[in-house]
Amino acid sequence: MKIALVGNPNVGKSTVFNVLTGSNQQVGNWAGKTVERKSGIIQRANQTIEMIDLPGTYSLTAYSQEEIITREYILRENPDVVMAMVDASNIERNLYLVLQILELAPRVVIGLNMMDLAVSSGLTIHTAELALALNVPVIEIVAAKGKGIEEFLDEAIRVGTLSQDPLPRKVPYPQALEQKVRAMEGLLSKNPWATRYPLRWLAIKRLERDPEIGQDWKASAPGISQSKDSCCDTGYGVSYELLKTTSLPGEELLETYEAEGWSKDHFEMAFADAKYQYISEILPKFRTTINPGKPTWTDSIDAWALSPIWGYPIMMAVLGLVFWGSFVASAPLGGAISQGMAWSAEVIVRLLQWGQAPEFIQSLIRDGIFAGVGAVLAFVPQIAIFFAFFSLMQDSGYLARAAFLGDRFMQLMGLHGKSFFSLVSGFGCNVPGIMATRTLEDPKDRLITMLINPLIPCVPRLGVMSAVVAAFFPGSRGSVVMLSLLMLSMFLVMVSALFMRRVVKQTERSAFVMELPLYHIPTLRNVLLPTWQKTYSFLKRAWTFILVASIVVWFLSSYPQGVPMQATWAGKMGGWLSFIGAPLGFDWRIMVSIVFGFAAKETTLSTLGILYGVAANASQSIAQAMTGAMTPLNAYTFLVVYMLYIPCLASVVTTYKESGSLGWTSFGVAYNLILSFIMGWIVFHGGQALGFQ
Amino acid sequence: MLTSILKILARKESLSMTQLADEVGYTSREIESALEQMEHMGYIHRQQFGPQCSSSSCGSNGCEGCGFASSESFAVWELTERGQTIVGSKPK
Repeated sequence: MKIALVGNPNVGKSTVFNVLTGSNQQVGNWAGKTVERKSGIIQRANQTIEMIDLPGTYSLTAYSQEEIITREYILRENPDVVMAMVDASNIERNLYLVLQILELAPRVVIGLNMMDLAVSSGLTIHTAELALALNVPVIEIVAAKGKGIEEFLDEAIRVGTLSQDPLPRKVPYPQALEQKVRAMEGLLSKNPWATRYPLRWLAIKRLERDPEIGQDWKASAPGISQSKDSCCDTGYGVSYELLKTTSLPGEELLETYEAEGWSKDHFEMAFADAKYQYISEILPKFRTTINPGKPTWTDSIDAWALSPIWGYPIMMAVLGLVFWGSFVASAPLGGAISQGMAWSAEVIVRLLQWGQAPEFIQSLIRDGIFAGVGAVLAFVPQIAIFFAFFSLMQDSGYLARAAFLGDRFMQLMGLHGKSFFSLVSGFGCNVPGIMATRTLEDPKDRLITMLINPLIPCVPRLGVMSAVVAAFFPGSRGSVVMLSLLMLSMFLVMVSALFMRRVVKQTERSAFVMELPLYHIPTLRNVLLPTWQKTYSFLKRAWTFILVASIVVWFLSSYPQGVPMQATWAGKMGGWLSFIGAPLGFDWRIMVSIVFGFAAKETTLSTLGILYGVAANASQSIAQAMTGAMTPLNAYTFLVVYMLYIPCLASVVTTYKESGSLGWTSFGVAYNLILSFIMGWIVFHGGQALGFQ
Repeated sequence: MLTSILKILARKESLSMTQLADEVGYTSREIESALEQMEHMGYIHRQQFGPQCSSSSCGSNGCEGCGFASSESFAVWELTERGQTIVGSKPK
């Protein structure tokens, strides 16, 4: 007796095979394939059974080696019985293969494995009802514990020795499809070649234009096999002329259907659809779930969190809470660091004075390094707390929902749904955000997404922005200001995308289905570890890149020596840029900090620290120094301009690399600069007109 | 069922799995199974958006930390060209 063991991958087939065959196994490869072939001998009473463990597969189409091997074995070797292993916890997926097997082989026994998993998922499978629904014996097994395996084999032997083939239920196809199957069956039944296959199965495969069936015909059709090249025995060496004259049976009928619009894909989809439909219809007969229809708490939360009406206010409230939390909780720590830095600068400078170090060294340490790096370090607590809140959002599963809601914006802009992944990545850093556009197939979609990505404020920009917001808009006002900036950014992303669509015409958008993780309570590790990693990265940058930038800015703002700061090289640079800054209400220091922000966004903060001379007055923090020199309206205008102009040099280089166009890169840079200027002008003059200071 | 899912994917609005299941009237398990089968057949494909910063070019470009959103994993199902063709044509 020959028994074939089939099933989906990871269904427990190998466990059953090993238990039944023990050490009587032979392992090799299937002829001409790289797939492992395992067979074994089982002795039962007077019977010797050869069991083949067929490769794990989800279906019996001709898309993979595993599928072809499985169905070829069943067709060619004609096993006495097929033992089909089914995962009870994922029965929908597994029954699809079973239905296909039932079209190939009538003698089938189902082994229902992983019942324990199904039960723990709240599922109950009634095996008797399943057996009745398919008219096939079903045996419950727990392969991992060795339970039910012998009974599974006993039932297979019983079915294998039946004098007549049983009549398992066939999938009922829709009437139009059934008629086509029957018409094909009628044609094929007249051809001797077709007798080697189950007729109905062959008819379905012919309608699907299964390529393997075609190969088999070419290899066996009269005339063709004799004309093979002497070097080949595969049938591929036949001449085209011969193939044309000896087409597969049913070809004319297929051409008629094709003329009616039935392509091979339409047939394939229609048969698969009918099988899934059938599974859906019979499922309630044998499967019950605990609390059917009762939504999980993830479903209940999502009903609100993903609602087109409530989803956005909820997202705004969550983000508002994140900003509020990071401003309020970080304020005392930030103040302490500022004072600590000022005190340290004082101590070190006194030591240098005691050691009679040159004046420029003292100035470099105090006015360059401590003022620049210290200005950035003072906001580390705020940034760390912001990171921690973001980690909470991510680990709880909410960040994925926020990203999903973002897709509605893409819809309004007519962009491909996948564009929003690039924009979401831009919140982390615009460089990977721009790189993420590679997932977009349409080059025009890619270009538009690449050009609007810099309008999304990245984490370093958010860090600097929150620092400035904390200085000018303390307490809960800060979170409102941050939210307003984010909303402005979103609005401009939309407007810019609509504008770019006029410049770059792209193809129609298509949708997608997104997998969302379940909500869960965040773990301390998953919150603290990324918080530490990001904070460390920020600190590392402060001691490397920002340190160098601080020294450069100190140098430019200190020389020529003995002149007022406005007459130094940095001051002159600011003076040259005053024609841009003046309409926005910016003094020269703001303009210089914006220029230095081109290299990296955090350097804006260190530059402001140096130019506002924070360390020169140890009792003054950067917040105090800035609030003394700027009004809240100046600060808000600065925040708008800062948020919208080019993120950094790295993002420009990446845009060039990804777009491969200097023209589009220049367009992107010019667009950001002009947009930031226009928005800054509107905010400043609009604010003044409304009476804001 | 499969055809309904393909038609929904050909529309412009994206959906979550739960929303898709609600719309076609099947359970999420059935939908997942159908999606996997259609992916196997080549009509749709699953795309995973993993951490973008795993690429070495990110660091060399001066990207300092990639932030959070870029390390979030998203997975979406969308139509392939073959899937779009089949949705776009209807047999008599």
